[in-house]
Amino acid sequence: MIEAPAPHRAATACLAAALALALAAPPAAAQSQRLAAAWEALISEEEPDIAPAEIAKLNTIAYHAAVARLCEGFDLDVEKIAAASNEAVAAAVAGLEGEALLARHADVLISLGATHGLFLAEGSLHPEAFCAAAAETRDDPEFADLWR
Amino acid sequence: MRRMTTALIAGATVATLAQPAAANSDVAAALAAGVVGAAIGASLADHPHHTHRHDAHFSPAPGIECYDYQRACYHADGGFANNWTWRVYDR
Repeated sequence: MIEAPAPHRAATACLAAALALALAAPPAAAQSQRLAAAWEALISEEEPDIAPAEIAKLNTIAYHAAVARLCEGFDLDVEKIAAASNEAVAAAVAGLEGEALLARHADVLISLGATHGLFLAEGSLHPEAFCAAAAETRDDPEFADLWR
Repeated sequence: MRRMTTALIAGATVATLAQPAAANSDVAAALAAGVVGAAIGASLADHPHHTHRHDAHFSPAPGIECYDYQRACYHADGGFANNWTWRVYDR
């Protein structure tokens, strides 16, 4: 059995991986913040079988945390993001048990950490536009954000 | 980061971490198996094999572009559009 690392070490490894991808891959177009090559490298054909809506939820959670780190005036609502995390993880492992459940759980947390890192990279490269887009999202009356 | 970590730990614990030691082993196994490592290697390799096969996108509204493989929408001028991501993929 592989010796278990501390959870924070695994998360740090994921973040480092995501940032390495971001630094290695320039933006696909001059006007785009989206690190296309890095996303493509991260999202392999062998990605775990997570439903599209759950992937979108993970994107939302990771993005909100990145905005809170990079943009003034945005603080996470811990209760909301904890509830969203519960919902996303529970949905991703629904119907699984034993080793399969633990494997999916690990995949979800790794994906979340790496996604968070890529959003941090996109926001760090273009902070003004990144935070402006966050403000627009927060102002959308139909969207229930996870900031305070 | 600490706030996010707190939230994630809360979520993970409530959801599934009945056996934390085994879960941690699984994180290590996933890393060892290349879930992340393969991506790093691909990105840092001298011989690029990125073909941007997933760059296909569509526009649900003026100024918005959505990428199915990423389950994410962006403003055409670049910024991630979380509200549109929710509208298109999670509503």
